[in-house]
Amino acid sequence: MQGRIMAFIVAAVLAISTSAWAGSMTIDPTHPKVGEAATITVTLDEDPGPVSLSVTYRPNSRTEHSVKESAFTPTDGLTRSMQWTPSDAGITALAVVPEGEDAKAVASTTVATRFSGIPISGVFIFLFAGVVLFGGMAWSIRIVMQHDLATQTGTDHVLADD
Amino acid sequence: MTVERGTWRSKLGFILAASGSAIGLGNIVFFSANAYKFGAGAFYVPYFVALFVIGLPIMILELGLGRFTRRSLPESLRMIDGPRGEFAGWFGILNATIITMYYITILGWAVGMLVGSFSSLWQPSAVPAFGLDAGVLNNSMSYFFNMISEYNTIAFVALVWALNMVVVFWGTRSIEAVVKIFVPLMWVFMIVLILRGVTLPGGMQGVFLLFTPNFSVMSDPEVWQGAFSQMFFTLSLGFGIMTTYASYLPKDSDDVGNASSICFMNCSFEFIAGLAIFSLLFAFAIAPKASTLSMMFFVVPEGIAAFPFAVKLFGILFFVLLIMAGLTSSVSLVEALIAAVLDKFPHAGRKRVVALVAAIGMTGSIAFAWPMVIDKGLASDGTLGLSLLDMFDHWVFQYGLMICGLLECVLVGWVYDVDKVLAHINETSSIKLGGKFKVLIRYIVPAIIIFVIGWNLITQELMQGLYGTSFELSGANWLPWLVFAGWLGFALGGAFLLTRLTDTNSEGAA
Repeated sequence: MQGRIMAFIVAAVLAISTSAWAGSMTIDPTHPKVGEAATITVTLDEDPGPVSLSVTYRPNSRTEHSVKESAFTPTDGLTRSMQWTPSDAGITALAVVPEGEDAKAVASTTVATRFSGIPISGVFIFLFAGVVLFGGMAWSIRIVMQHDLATQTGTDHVLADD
Repeated sequence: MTVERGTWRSKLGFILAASGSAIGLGNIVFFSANAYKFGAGAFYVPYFVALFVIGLPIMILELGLGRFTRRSLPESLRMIDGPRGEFAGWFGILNATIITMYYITILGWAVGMLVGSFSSLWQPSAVPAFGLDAGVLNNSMSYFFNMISEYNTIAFVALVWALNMVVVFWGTRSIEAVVKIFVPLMWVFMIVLILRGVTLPGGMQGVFLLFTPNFSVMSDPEVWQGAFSQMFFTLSLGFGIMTTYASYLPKDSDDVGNASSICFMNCSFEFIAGLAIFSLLFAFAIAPKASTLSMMFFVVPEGIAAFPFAVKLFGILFFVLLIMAGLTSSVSLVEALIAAVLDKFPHAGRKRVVALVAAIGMTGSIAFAWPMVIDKGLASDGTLGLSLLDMFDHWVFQYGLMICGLLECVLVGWVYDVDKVLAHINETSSIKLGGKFKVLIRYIVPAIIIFVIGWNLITQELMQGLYGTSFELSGANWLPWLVFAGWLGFALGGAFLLTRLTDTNSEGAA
């Protein structure tokens, strides 16, 4: 019928509502690609001192992992920029964090990082799963439809193939 | 006294009804959330293991039981193990009854979101919700929480109950007529969503993301636990539905073929749903959440709202799809309960039993929809109804249905004679099962279910405390304990009482 309906603490859900607390971020190109440098520019409302980029690949998953990138370079007043080269494809959360312990992010966004090419392993699993599932479906429906119905019981409706 | 039993009018009708039951709200969004969480393409490894080791064997067993005894779950288990078996059957049916109640509440909310799609749900400007400022939540979240905190939402719940009653009123005849329209339509709607998703900029990359494996998670027990749980729930195992539906089959039906058709059709639908959801999420860089409700009411609508055109059209399409998928599942839940009561009290008559089930079920659904706000800051679930729903869902899904599945295997594999069941299944099946099926039912499936239940107990109740005690409940901190006691009382106490009631329909052992 279904999977788990709930597991539904809204406090966790609130995290999906994004989140530019004290600044805005732009990424060029908008959809970065693995292995290719992208320019991240952040414009802050006030100067928090030196800031760096925290990257979380595939947030909310068991494969989530975070990397702290090098510091932003001040460019113009409250605007900072840096080059970032993604190492992994998928949904990626970016946060601009001031230097220092327990510092909270001053700007954040989520980007979809593209694969550098067509992932062969992904295509293989797509084909394999598709063949097993749809092949299995076609095969089993065929078996059921060909099944010989010699006798009838119960209220004796006659079964007819559609 | 025996009553004339309904019969499916065609083989396809049965397969569509059973797969329509299995394909529900969770298939559309929950598989995607799990696949994202558990290693994307790598998740297919435990998923396929779960399909062939747990899904298919229990499906065959439940269909075999229904066809063998031509009774719903409690009576069929009674036939193989007397009152103990009947008690186990009622325990499963009563757990499924709780699910029926809140599942229909959720469907009522989906109807509310569909109605909202024609008015303000997709408006671009931010909307305030509860005690939070505009813009804190995305618009679909704001709309949802505003909606569930209003009493008129109960009307949507009543509407869904009325639809269910209409569909089950004439039994297999009306159910078959509805699934023959809804199930193919669900596939068509899903294909439309896939086409929209993969043609978005970056949409195909989402498909790559869904299937590209990260095998580093394979040693994580939670991934395997997630796959086994997913398979158990997605196939409607332990609910008593499949046994009930199979009891309407002719005696010479092909259990193995039918079980395979249902399993593969259900999992194929999940496969294509993953394509639609992942392409959408990737295109708009939205991280999935492993919860059906948040996925269907917040995350996917957030993506649809970002479409460059036809937002309202695709929003309506999505919620209509959810309602169709939910309705074919809720109908099967209601029918399983009606059939169980009718098998026990055949003199009651179908009309009266349908009315009784509707009255009790709607009362429960209204409780789960109760809009009283107990958590204005949304630190937890917001309303009393949603908090109840969350907590009951935890006990029923994490434990109730798993225990029922375990009892089925133990009763057939150890108490009764698994060889008799196997011989019965093989008698009419195109594909003959061998000794491996016996090993699965007697040893492997019970061991896996015990592992999953034990894992849940240790990692949740023992390590984190009773479920719900960490919620923000505005002074009602006793509620989690009340829900826990209520679940035990309803499922165990109810099963005990129903088993003790005079059986007017005993026909001896099979």
